[in-house]
Amino acid sequence: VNVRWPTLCWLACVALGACQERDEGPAWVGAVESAHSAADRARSPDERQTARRALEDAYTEVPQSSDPRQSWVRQDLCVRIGESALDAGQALEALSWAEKGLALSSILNVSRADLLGLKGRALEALGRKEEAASTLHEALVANQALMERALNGNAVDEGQP
Amino acid sequence: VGGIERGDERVTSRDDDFDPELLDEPIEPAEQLEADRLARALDERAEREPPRDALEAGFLLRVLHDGGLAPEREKAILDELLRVTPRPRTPSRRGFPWTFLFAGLGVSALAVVLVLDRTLTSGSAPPVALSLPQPSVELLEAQAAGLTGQKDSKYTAAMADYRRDVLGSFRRREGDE
Repeated sequence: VNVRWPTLCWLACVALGACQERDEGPAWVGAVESAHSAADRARSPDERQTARRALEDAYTEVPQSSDPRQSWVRQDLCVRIGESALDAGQALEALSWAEKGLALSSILNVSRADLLGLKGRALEALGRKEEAASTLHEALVANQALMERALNGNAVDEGQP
Repeated sequence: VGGIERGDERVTSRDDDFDPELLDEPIEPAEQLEADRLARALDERAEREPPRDALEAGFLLRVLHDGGLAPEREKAILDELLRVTPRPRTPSRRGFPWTFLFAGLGVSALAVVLVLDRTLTSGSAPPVALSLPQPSVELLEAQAAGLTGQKDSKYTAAMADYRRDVLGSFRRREGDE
């Protein structure tokens, strides 16, 4: 009997802990929010550099799964990291982050259109004009498709690229 | 010529030497007593019933010789045997089943906690969406304007709202943000 009471207490704590975890959400969500907030507030080059590192750390914390929301969060981080690199004159690194984000998912969403735009601007900065024009056109087409779906009230993440 | 010896006499033949005159001779008391004992013993054997086990053994031998019992008879005998045979007693559990009691209490407590938590939060907790929220037209318009160049503050604000919606969907309660 003396052994069973602690077991019951432990089970109750686990149940309450599970409830508490569900209320606060996964731990990585807070890291992503903090990183985006830091990027929004960054003004100086040092602040931007610090914010970029926070974004990259947050990117590694988001779990890889089949959940389209998690894929979108990682793509969104790729957009912000790539734009930070492009603003810092690092076009190759910006292109790398754009391609990394596009490889995460082929589902059409807001971040995919942003990643195509980032890739086009990075290619333009690298002097690859024709590829840049083609990619930017692809970004505009994606945005138009999203707009049509939004106006028609259709979901954007039904697995359709 | 032969006969029963009495005293110094001897019997030489039982059939040939039978003397009817002997029947007329008076029976001695010792002989009468012996005859009574013999008659009584014979009467008792005739009146006494055969032993039960001998009858049963004979019955079984006869049944085996005839090819066995009929199925109905076999079943009836088996049922009777099962009915009258005392069943072995199953060992009774000693003591109170504390293990089951505590296990049941634990499961019940866990269920109550989960049900109460769900009940208390059901009013403010929308169902968790496993799909992305719909982007607003304003966000997409701002995105189209900034795809080829620098993004403006309108896009930044709209995108921040959309990002908040997506990240908030990972939480169970929207009001916790």
